[in-house]
Amino acid sequence: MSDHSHAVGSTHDHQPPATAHHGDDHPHGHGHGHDHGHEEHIPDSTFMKVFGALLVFTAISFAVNQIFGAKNPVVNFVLIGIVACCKAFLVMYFFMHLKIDWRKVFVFLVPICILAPMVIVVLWPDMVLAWRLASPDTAP
Amino acid sequence: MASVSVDEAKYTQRGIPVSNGKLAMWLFLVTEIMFFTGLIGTYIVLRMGTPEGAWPKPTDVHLSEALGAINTFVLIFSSFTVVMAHSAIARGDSKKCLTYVAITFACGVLFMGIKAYEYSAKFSHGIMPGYIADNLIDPSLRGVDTSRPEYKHLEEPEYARFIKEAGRHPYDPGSAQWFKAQVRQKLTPVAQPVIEQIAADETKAKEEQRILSPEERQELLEKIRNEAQSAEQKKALDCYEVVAAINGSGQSRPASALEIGIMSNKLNEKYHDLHLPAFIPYGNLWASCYFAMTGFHAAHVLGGLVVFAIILIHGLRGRLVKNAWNVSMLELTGLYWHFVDVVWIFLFPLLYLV
Repeated sequence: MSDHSHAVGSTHDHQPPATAHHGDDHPHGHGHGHDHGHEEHIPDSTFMKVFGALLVFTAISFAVNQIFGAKNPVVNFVLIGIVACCKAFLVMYFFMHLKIDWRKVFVFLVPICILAPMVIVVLWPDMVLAWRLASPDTAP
Repeated sequence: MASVSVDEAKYTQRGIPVSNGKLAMWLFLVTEIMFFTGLIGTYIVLRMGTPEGAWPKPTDVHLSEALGAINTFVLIFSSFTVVMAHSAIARGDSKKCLTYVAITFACGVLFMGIKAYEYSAKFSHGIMPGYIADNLIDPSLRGVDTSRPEYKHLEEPEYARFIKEAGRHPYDPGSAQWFKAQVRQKLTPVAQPVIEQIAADETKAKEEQRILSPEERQELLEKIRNEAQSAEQKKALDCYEVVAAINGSGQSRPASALEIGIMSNKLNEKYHDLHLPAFIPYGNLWASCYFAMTGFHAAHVLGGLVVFAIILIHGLRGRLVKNAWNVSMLELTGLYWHFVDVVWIFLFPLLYLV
């Protein structure tokens, strides 16, 4: 663990402070800013493809709603939720540069991925299960 | 002591290998994720905690899927243009970057315009938290309706006491009495021709020293219905029937608020220009969630627009040239804007589709 910390620290130590770059014309990798010396970037063509994919996913959520909206609300909810997660993934992975930055910011995002669903999970028993368990069907 | 200082210096230089700006932005964004999770999570549990099928459908609350879809497209497109703006400035193409920022700004303004239009439509239909007649059935805090036979024992003084103890005024928005009064007030002018026709017959009967019997009133209504030719006359008659139900004229008792609620919804469906207060079960809960979620989201869009306006001014002054500061500014602003897009990606299906 200490080795790892040292490695991260060392990498950072080699970098000049961010302010030292202010006003220079140093070429940057897209989404990479001045965080590292090596160049990594996502090409514009990928952004265009992602934009197209986002539109396709939006159309898919409409189609799912048309097919399952009235017939099966639960399936509709789950499928549209999955499509929304795919869209959010595309935006975060490519547009927010997590493809490049994930290994640097995962320390914030992993706890959030656990804590955010917990907000819903802790409210579920009182707000949802209590009502469902008290329905006439389940009454003694 | 000196060795401690050296250690401290080493320690402060370690950490996540990202710039201070990006670190700050990601820290800010994770707090934002938790903030919106609170709002969206509350909406999901409230919705799942209502009886099956009781939660208002998008059409019940005048939500247009088309407008939501346009806004989704606008926001996704603006996310694309902002990422292209960052790409352009990193290449050193200031002109292209400025164009992309201008398009992003325009998209944000368009989004806010559509949102404002949607909000105004809600306000014109009285869809606001606390203003919706959402519970016309039980004598709870809202919706005490003493005209229902089962609540007849709640005589006026007792009803007044009940309302007083509940800390509400009988004509509080959303209460059964307020609802009926609103519907009557809106329908009476439209139903005026029919009201006058019936009043004329009542006067004639009075001159003959008698009152119009329910059967005679019914016959008269039939006659008016058969003679009604124009759409306007038919509309007046439809409206009159609801007014008569509220007043209880020609009936054994005034209709309950729930009955009026159902009639009012039917009239709203038939005549869009009437804008009667709608009876929407769980409507206030829905409105609170809708305005909290979309309101905070719109506030974030507005915040982004302010930053894009600053970047635009910066660019128009010829300062949007390739340097570390500008590249970083575009990237961090883009991160924020994409986050706003991600929030909408979840809000749109939750509110407009499922």
